[in-house]
Amino acid sequence: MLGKVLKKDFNSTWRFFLPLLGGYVIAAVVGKVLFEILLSVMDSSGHTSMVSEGIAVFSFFYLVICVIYLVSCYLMTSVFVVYDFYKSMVSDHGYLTHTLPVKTRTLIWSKVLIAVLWQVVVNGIVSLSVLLIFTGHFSWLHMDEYFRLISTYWDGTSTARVIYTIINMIVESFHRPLLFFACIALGQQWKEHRIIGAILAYMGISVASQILNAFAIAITGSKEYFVSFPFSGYMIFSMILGIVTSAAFFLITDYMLSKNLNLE
Amino acid sequence: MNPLLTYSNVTKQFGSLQALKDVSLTIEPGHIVGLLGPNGSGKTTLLKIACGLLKPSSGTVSVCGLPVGPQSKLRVSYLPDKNYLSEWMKVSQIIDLFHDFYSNFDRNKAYEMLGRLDISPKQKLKTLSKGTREKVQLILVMSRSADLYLLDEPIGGVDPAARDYILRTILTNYNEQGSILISTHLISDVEKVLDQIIFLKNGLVALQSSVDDVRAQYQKSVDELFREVFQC
Repeated sequence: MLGKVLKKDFNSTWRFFLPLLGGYVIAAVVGKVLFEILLSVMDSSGHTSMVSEGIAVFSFFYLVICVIYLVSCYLMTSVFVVYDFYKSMVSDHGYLTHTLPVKTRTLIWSKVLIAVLWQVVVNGIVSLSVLLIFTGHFSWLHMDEYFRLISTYWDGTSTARVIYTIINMIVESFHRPLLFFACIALGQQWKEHRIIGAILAYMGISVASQILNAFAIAITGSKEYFVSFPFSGYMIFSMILGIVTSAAFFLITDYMLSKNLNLE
Repeated sequence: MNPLLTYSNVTKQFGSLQALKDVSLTIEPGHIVGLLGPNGSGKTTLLKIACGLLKPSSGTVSVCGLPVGPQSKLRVSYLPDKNYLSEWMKVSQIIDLFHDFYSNFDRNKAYEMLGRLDISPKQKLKTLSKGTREKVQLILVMSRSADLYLLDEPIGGVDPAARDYILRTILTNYNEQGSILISTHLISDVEKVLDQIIFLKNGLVALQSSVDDVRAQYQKSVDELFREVFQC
């Protein structure tokens, strides 16, 4: 049944992401062209015309807009994931979602996996577009030199760090949507003003997380990522906290939507 | 015969408002039951609890002997009183979705009914009028061979010709081994198709009876009795 729910959720989310990412790819390709023009104008020291200077200024501002677009891609990913969850789980469309012969936890799993999928796709496309714009201009971006540099310093500690970073990214990509889902599910318990309830839940959980973080720093005595070898106590605590809170958010969402669902 | 739907001492509280007060009733197979009451009497709440969209504050509900959950939802075909379909979807996509999830959904029957109304499966819901969207929802619900059809105000807010179409569609397409529970306050329009009635008043079951018994006992039509029981 999870496959069918995933299909349904993918169909309802791709129409948000396709224009966003399509627009970004086009913007990145144009950005690459303008970046090349900008560099060529900068290289022709002292022999620039008014037109080429104008193009250079335009290219510069265009690249600034590209960076803003890039940041907005990350923000919009969260916005779309939250919007889709809210719309299909606790608004009028929830009348269909919650009358499907599917367990609530299957519905939540599907939402989480789709959210993770889009985060991976957005990260991948944004990373490739940044590489596209800068490739060929900075020696550290020549991949062969880059890998040689890595291999020079590669040892067991580095491997552990890479594994830690990958696990942390996976945990984070599950943690963020689950936090939003739990807040929406908690806000749904309010009789009225449920969006305000969700925002208050988010603020409450954020404050609690900050307190836990401060507590963890005080206990472990370090927040240094690159200084402690191989890991600082804080890094381990932070990852465990991410896993435990993600599981807690999942259980809260499941409980609220299966045992306390109140669609108005 | 085992009841299709059983409410046992169901109470539903919304803050200080008690929408349902210790409701106990059963629906047997093979009946068309009118759930009748004025606005705010608890009709929608009663139906939503059977679908799992609301949780009762106390008491239990079972469908075909099953607690409300994924298995019971397979047996219930529910028509809410609002648009629950995504407007960006094409009619054909919605049919595919129902076909994916409900093993008792008859895709051919749905296309047949759409064809009779000249609704193109290629059309997106947002291009359809409100009335046509409601008909699409009704077609989806009645294309399932469910044990229990829960229809919330299916003829509310539509013209008399559309009411006739809706009632005809319900009567000619439901699974006759199952039952239909129709919630409405437009008694005169549905009276001719009902064989049982439930009067709901301020969250309480005021009367549950067969239509024949109402006529024999009170010498009145259901509509007349309704006006008497619920007079302001």
